[in-house]
Amino acid sequence: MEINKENILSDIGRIPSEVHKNIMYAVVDYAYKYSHVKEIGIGDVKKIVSSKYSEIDILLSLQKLCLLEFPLLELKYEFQDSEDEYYILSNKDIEEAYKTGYLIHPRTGEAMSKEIIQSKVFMFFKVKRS
Amino acid sequence: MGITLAQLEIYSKIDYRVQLLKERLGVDSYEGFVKALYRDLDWCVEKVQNEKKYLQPDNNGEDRISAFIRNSLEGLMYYADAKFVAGGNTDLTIKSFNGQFQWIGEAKLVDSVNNSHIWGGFLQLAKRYTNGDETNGGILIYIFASDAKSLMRKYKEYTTTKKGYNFTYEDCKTRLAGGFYSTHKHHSSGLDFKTRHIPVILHYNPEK
Repeated sequence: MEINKENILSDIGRIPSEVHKNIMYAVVDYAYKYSHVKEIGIGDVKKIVSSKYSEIDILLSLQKLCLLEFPLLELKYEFQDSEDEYYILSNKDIEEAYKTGYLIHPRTGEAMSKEIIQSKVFMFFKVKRS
Repeated sequence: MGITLAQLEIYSKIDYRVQLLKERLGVDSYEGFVKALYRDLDWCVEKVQNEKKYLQPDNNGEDRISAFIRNSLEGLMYYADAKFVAGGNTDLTIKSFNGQFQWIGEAKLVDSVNNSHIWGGFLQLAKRYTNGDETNGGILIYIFASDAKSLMRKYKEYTTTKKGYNFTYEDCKTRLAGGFYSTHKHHSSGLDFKTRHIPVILHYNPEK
């Protein structure tokens, strides 16, 4: 079975929380309406859903879209050193960084402190639609 | 643009459900699933314990508690199914929402030391509901008696008298009122099977 809109919507139908369902339906519609959209963040979702939803509810809804049997989204990490220098990090890189307290700079090999990790590593949601 | 890990930490402090987001989304193995589930289950147990006033035993006492845990887990994005069986048993099947991983638990309600009753739950878990292919399971012990720690200690001692299991034990670092893990060779799979014995403290007897 493939990840398509119908399967995703049917998967969402099983979720008990109405609040999150509404946000999730809106994100699915948005992702399939604008096929050029490759990533989605909290800011994007805020623009397409009612302002009554908190950022936490949006974040939890995005999380749920990653955890479905047919997940629309995939969590990714990016280390942004400067405007034009950024690197995709794996879950393992992040796990390791939390364990050791530092992250190795992908280009320089330098160990970066927790403060840098906290402020320069971004998490975002990649769209996986077919 | 996404959010920084610093922002994520701020959200985590406001709402627990965000706290394990990285772990839940990073799960790529059965062991990772069980690890994340156990932290989430701890949170659900604390929520239940906070509501103990409203969850005192009656005809539907344990069903209500299991339903409460099920709903909390569903909010955390697990698929939880609680089957209520007459005679004080609840079978709790918890699956990752993508259906990839599964954990089975058994719930037992006690209002005094009742080792054989809890042991019955263990037997159902180990011999009826699991085949040992998934190597973890658990028993939720809804304790309405006072001194849960002492009750759990007596139950643990009781398990040491059971022949043919050769349990090894490990104390639970989060459920401090006598929570523990036992490991034995599963009779179906022949693999080591680790059971988490989880005390849920529901004693409620206010003096005022």
